[in-house]
Amino acid sequence: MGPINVLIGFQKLFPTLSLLALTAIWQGVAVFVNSHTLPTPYAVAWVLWQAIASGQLPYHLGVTLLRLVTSFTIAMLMGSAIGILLGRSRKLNAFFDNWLVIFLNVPALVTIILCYVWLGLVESAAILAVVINKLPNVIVTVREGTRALDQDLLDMARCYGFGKRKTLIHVIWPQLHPFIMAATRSGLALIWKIILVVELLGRSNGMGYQLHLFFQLFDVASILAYTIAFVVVMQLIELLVLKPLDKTAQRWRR
Amino acid sequence: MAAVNILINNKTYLAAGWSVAKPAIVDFSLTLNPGEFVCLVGPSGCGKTTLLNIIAGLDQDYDGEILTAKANTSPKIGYVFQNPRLLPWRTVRENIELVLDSQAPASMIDELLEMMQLTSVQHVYPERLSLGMSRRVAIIRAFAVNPDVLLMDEPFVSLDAPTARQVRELLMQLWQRRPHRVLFVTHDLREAIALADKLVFLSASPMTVVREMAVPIARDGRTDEAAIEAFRRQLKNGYPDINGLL
Repeated sequence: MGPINVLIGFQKLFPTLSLLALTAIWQGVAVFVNSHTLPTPYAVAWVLWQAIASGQLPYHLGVTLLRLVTSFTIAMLMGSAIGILLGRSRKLNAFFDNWLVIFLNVPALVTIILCYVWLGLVESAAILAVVINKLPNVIVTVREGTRALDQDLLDMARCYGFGKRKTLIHVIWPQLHPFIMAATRSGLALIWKIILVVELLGRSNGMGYQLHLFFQLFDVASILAYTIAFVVVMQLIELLVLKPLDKTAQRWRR
Repeated sequence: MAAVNILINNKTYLAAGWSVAKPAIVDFSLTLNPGEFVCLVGPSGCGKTTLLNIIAGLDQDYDGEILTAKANTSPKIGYVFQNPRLLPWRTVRENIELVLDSQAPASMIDELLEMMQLTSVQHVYPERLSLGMSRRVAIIRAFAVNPDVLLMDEPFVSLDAPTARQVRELLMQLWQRRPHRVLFVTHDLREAIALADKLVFLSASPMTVVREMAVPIARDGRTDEAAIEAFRRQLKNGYPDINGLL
């Protein structure tokens, strides 16, 4: 093995090493300050294990994920449809552009509060608040993608008599795919942050609700344990769902 | 099958800003008989692609009409564009299947692929093909729909000479088995003579028909370069109005 091979082998370990380094720094600082507001990694791991074993964490995480999937699906479907419409029609876009700008700039907290005030502290209000926060984002991204559609291919489809459905599936959708994936990634990151606030303000279960409890008890170990669980789940979604989706959709590229 | 008549009284693009709109096509009339291979020859930029887009129904903003045997129906179109315009995310075979009804027999596609020598790449994505191969796929796609009018917009442009010759020969073999009405645009007179039953010479913008002329060379004599060259000279010397266009 030459020195270059050693270097390459070493590089493969980089992600693991960087995580170990982060844990080591955490351990060092925790030992140094020696306060219950910053527990050691070991203490957090123990709390995490107990939360999982008791079923508390899986339940609340599951509830939050369910809300995430529901609101994400609604926002993506509606956003894609509206985005395609606005991208295709100059008139519609001229009319609705201002609405978009307004909704893009309303703070998340305001929509959440208004939804709870108008609909009551119910599940549908929580979902609606998340959808309203995410929707303009999807619309803008998909609209940009629709504007960039290849007119040559659309002409081809028209001249060979493709119907609306066929054109959408075979000509438009594959071109929008990169934009949809961008909206998906930024969407998941945005939605789960908003969902926690929604749960904190108006639900009696879910991650946000639990974090609120831990905050009142100053239980930092539990807060960190829940955070780790959530980060791991989000990474799993990226690895097991989004990456494979990307791969199958991109296999035609050189 | 009766003839297809193309009449365009006037086609004018909207002018930009305050400039005066100049017509692109004026008093154009052309008859396409069944099984006829017609080559449009004219200077570049004279409006040939505009004409094809009108016939294909992509451009509806003109004064005139396309008449077919059945009243009020537009002719079925096969279109080989200047660039192949294949869907890059569908394989060669899928690209052909997409323009057909689901009842179309697979054997027909097999046969077309075989004739164009593309059977081995039928499951390949278009981005991995050479330009010559992509063009052949586009040609198959246009023939596969069994068109009333097959439009071809300089399909051999930017191919090197041997590849262009190969694709041209394959096209002729295919067309002799499936003789649709073809409207073929080119600015290469030799190519036009080698392919056409009828040559149609077009003027520069605004485009109109200058002269129509049958090619007197028999189909099996089209590989004879000398005969083609002789006819080309005869055209150039005998018809000064054509000579000015080329």
